[in-house]
Amino acid sequence: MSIRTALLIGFTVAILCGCLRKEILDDINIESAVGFDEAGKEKIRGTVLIPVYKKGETANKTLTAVSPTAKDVLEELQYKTSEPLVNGSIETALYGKRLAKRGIFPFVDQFHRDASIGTRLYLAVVDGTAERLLEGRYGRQGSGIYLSNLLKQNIEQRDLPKTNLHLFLKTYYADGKDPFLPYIRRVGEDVQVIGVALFRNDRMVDTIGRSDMFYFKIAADAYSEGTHTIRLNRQHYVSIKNISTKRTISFSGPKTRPHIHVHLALEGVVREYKRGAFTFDVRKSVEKTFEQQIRSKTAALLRRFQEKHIDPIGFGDLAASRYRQFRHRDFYKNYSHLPIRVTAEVTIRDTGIIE
Amino acid sequence: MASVAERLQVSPFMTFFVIVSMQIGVGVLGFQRVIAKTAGHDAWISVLLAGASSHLILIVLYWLLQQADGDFLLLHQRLFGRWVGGALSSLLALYFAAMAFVVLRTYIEVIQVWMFPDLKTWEFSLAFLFLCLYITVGGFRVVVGIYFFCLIIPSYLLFTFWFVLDYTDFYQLLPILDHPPSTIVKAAKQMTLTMLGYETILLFYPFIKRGNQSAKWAHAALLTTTLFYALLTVLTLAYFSEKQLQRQIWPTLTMWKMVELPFIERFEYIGIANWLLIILPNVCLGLWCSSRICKQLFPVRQKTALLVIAAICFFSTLLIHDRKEVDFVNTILNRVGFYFLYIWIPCLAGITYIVKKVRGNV
Repeated sequence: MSIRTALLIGFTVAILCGCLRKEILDDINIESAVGFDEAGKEKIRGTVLIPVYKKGETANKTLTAVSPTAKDVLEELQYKTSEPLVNGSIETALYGKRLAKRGIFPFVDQFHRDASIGTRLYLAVVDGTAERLLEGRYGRQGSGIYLSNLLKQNIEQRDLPKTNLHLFLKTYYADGKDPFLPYIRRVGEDVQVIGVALFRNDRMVDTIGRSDMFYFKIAADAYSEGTHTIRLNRQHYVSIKNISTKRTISFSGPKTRPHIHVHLALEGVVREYKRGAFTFDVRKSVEKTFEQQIRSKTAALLRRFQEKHIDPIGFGDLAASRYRQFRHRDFYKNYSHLPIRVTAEVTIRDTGIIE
Repeated sequence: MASVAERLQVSPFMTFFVIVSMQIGVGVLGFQRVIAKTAGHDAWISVLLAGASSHLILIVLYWLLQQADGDFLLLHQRLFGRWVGGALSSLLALYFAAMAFVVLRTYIEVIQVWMFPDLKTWEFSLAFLFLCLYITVGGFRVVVGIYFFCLIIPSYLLFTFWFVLDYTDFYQLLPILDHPPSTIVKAAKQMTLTMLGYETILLFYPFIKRGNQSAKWAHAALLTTTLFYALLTVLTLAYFSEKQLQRQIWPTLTMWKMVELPFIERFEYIGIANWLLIILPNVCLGLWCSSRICKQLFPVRQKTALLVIAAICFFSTLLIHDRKEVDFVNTILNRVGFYFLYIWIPCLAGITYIVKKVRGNV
């Protein structure tokens, strides 16, 4: 083969390899959030949110379609747009409450299977319908970014435990842990996180209200920063910031019905205390009250999980790592009667820049 | 002894780069699932076990090479005569060609699934094999030069696993040794395909200056890849839950989906594109080894042999259509590699030893 033929072939190949489908940003509709709702029996209503970039701000467009399965809904929507819908940058997927109670796995698996969707995708359950929530206009950067920032901010600095597509699937497939997702609601022109939705397999079975979220987060995950206000007595409150927590769970006794001990260690800085000097005695009493609250609230939550027979904390998996030849089935047979002891240790590190 | 002019040789130190970049191939993208299916959260022990056993095999390979004055094919001929020995060596040529083909086809599948669903197999295969031919025709020194860069450039990918650490639960690895030893050994056996690559030393040994000094570099290379695989396995086992891992075809790529940098939202695309550099040496050396055997066995020039082998590889990649078939050829290569390294090489060493005792030399 002469060099010329070789070059010719090489050149042809190089040119042909450019013949793949192109996706030019101006010619496609980029979905930034999707929502799924129940629409009668065996029907699903799907909504996608598309940002429309204008000078100065971002407007939103939503498209809705009804169809029997999740994949079809998104296909169905293609008929409604002049430009192809692209799902590579979906950042949030929302599920209506009624659908969540029926099971959301088929609508999550579809994202899992798609190579173009990232595993940092946020999932959330909506009180009401996802469609109504997505129709709202929030923020200047478009509702899609607003929603993902809302969840991100609440996870990093507030009381939401870490969740995303990867973690949902990880816990869904785990034998000894149940998934949970943020629970949100539209309030006028805002969206609020109102709690945590708890799942058994892929069905939502319970929710935790906002007042219990702090205690849920320190038990299920860990706190690295954030603020929490506790009530001392009557009208006196103290707020503590830069909270960091460490959870230690230990097991003792036989592996089919172990005694569980949850120890929560917390460190923080006082941010606001209105009643004069923050003396050593006050500090001690704040620590004590906080410890007492953590103990009772967390214990109540865990009790509730046992009654509902769900395990969002992952006791099963933790036990599996402590006992040899562990069987999840035997463990969960006795789960609701297992004795769980909660202890807490609060340390107020310092009192800010004033004494 | 097949003497190779000194100007064509490389320093013993380069053995390290050749072996490491030959070992790290497409296997890394998905081996965790297979071994975790057998050995569960103890799979990382299997990796160490597979690494340890390949050190032993490498010692045997070096011993064999010394007995044959550096020419492995000569050993075949001296022990089994011209015809049987020649037949065995041609099987070896087939094996290396198959290695190049399987690696290439598996990588094309990754591109098709992850990046360009409408990429035709032949387009990529043809372009890639041309590149490989271009490199391989330049001779072993050029191939090694490419190796060096193909290991150094993608090595930054190691740091990307830092992002995954946020989502790892290392307690999932406990309790250690909860699976029966037999399953751990079985998983180690399944590691063969991922560990394969160091047996190419049989062919390129004559191209190393002061060949026997390269042994320490070869062992260092094996140790490096073993530790890398073990680390990756530990991360994977901590990142996924057990049943979730079973659903991932390419766990390494799925882990990259978690990486997010300010300037790039989805890292796996960069990772896959960079992986081309890791695949390149694999295919090149496979082709080179295969053509080198042909040159020694048959009255052909190495370039002609290369062209024919590359053409065969090209048409073979077209025959594979879907995931099941890709999986199938990978399993076959895994099995063949296992029999070659762990059954045939020890047998050969035994025969050589006996013949040496009887005849006085080999």
